Amino acid sequence: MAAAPEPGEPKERKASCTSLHLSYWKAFKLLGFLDVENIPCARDSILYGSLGSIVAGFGHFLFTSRIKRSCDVGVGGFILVTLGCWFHCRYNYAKQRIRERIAREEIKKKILYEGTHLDPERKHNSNSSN
Amino acid sequence: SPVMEELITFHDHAFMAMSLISFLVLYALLSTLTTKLTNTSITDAQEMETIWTILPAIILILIALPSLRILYLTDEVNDPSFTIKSIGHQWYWTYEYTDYGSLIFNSYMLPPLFLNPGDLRLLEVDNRVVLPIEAPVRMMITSQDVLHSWTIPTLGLKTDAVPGRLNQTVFTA
Repeated sequence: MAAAPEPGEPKERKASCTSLHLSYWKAFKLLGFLDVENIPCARDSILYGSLGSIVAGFGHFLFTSRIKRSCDVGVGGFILVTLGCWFHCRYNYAKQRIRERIAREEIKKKILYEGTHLDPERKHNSNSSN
Repeated sequence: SPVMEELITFHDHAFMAMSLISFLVLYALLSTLTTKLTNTSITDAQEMETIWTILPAIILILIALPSLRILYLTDEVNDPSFTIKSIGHQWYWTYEYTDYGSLIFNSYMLPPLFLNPGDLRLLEVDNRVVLPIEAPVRMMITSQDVLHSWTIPTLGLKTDAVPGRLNQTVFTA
């Protein structure tokens, strides 16, 4: 039995089909612990890795007709493609975050110094006219 | 904070490495359990042993390098603007702002009965620590009685309050 809510605590929401469905969908974790939804680049890496695994394994099987070895090649392909996509995506993500941070700080500086001698736009215009 | 972002990045990196290793080990386990091939007179397997020595060493190096980088990043001291002392007690914190005058106060957690609507249970206190933003702050942490821990999870800070020892953490809020 749930305890009565304390004053100040939000009341419990009624469970509905939609919220249950959404909450089940949100709780999806690969192998039980890999949160592919909230870790940037995880979902794309796993999907491309799966595709690479199928292509590598199936291609190997077409050429050699060896099932077990093709499965091994598929697993190896999965790991290599996942890692490759992961590092490539995280590198681009890190570059994007740096660009966002620089843009945020420039906007802050612009708002702070607009109209003064420290205005970044005024400095840039005077440099370009010189 | 930037340190917390780096910690999250490292967590994602280590998590992906751990997931792939788990997947590989699971596959190796299933392969071994389902094979019909047996050899009762194996004497050595030099190639396999080389691979399973070198590959984990490479993986460990790939995990250790970013880890050490973040470790030294969190220990950087960037000329703090001022210092706050934080002393842990059972069960409250004492904060001392002694750089510009002497301000000492205790910070007790508010019981649920004293909370206003919208307040965070178990987190609200009667006297808050006020920190300047965009300014490096040095926090000296110790304890009066037993071990405590002073943490701000969103800034990636956690420092133990050890009785008889003064720990330092520097951060920019």
